[in-house]
Amino acid sequence: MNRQKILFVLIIAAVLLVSCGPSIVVENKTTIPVRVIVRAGGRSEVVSPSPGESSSVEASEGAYRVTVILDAEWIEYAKLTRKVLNDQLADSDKLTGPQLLEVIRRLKDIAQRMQQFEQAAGSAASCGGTLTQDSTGLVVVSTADTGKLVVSCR
Amino acid sequence: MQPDNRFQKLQDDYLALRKQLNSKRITPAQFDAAQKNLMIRDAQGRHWTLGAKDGKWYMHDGKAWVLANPPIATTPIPATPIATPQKSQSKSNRGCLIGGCVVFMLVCLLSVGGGFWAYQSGAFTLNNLLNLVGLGPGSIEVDNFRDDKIDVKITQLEPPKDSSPIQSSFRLAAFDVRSNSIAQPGKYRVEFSTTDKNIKLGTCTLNVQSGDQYQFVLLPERTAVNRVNKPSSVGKDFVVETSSLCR
Repeated sequence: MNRQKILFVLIIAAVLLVSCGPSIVVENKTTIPVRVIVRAGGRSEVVSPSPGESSSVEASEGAYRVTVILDAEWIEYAKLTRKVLNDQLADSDKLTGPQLLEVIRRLKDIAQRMQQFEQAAGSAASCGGTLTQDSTGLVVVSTADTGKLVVSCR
Repeated sequence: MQPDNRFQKLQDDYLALRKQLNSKRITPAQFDAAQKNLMIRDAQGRHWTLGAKDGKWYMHDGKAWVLANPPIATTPIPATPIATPQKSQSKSNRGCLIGGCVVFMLVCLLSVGGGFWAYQSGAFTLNNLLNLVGLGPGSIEVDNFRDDKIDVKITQLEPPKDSSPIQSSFRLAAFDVRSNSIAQPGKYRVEFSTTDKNIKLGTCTLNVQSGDQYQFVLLPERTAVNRVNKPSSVGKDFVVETSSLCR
């Protein structure tokens, strides 16, 4: 088999591996909008399955952690951040050093804020599991008798 | 006191000191300090002492201490008088060696345990390891901070020969965040548009290297871009339309 064929086989194998990777399905069984932070493979994502619907997140093998937060809390933070960024970047070529640092801080803060939400969430509002190749993690968000959001990983 | 008695007494005092040193009742510094006082003067006015390290007799000839035989016979001093302190030092070295080994093993155990914990908890991944040697993937994060849904399309521009370009498309609801792994470093085109009216929100052609973390934040009036692992120092680089990262 010549080198080109070997390379082609390797690429196909890589594509198959990537496309058949594990995933996490988050199901919102509540009647309210929720925001779910999914951390897997060193990356974080925020999804918002509508009430009664599901969202899927591609993940990598290994441990994952899911945290549910109130939709309004996340949107409040995001709107504040976008206002600051919109204002600062309106004249991006005239930014002073301190303004530039503030823009960078705000951009990096998005990931840090996700972590803060995760840490602040109670034990019932977060769960975790481990994904193997081709497996799918099923996460269900529901409402407890107390009215608080709870999440379970299956 | 007779001269011969004084030589013998000095030698006895020296041996007593050495015993104390050997049994660690005194420190080497205390031994040195006490030994300096062990000195006598003979009938000719010459000073005599015993060497601190070799236990041999020395006489001061007016200029320097020289090896010499005392004027009277004294009991021979056993050889290697300072051997015990050296042995003690050897023991100390051995102790240090064993201690060092224990510390090294502890560090190894902690590293392995910490690494296992970090892997299990997801804090450290295979990608982190690959990035350390420049073979890991890059990533493109998209933060949709607009009030409407957006579509994102990522296309590999220079795929390897005989392979089709990698493409990835996804949809983000308002205020959702999505992160996309780029397994093959190289040039990628990232396109943004609104889902409902297909309004173009910007296009960026990136050169993604191993370990690069690009972040796009979709704002109502513009799209921000940042290379998180190496932010630019120029303001216009943070807006897709004007950024040098997008060329």
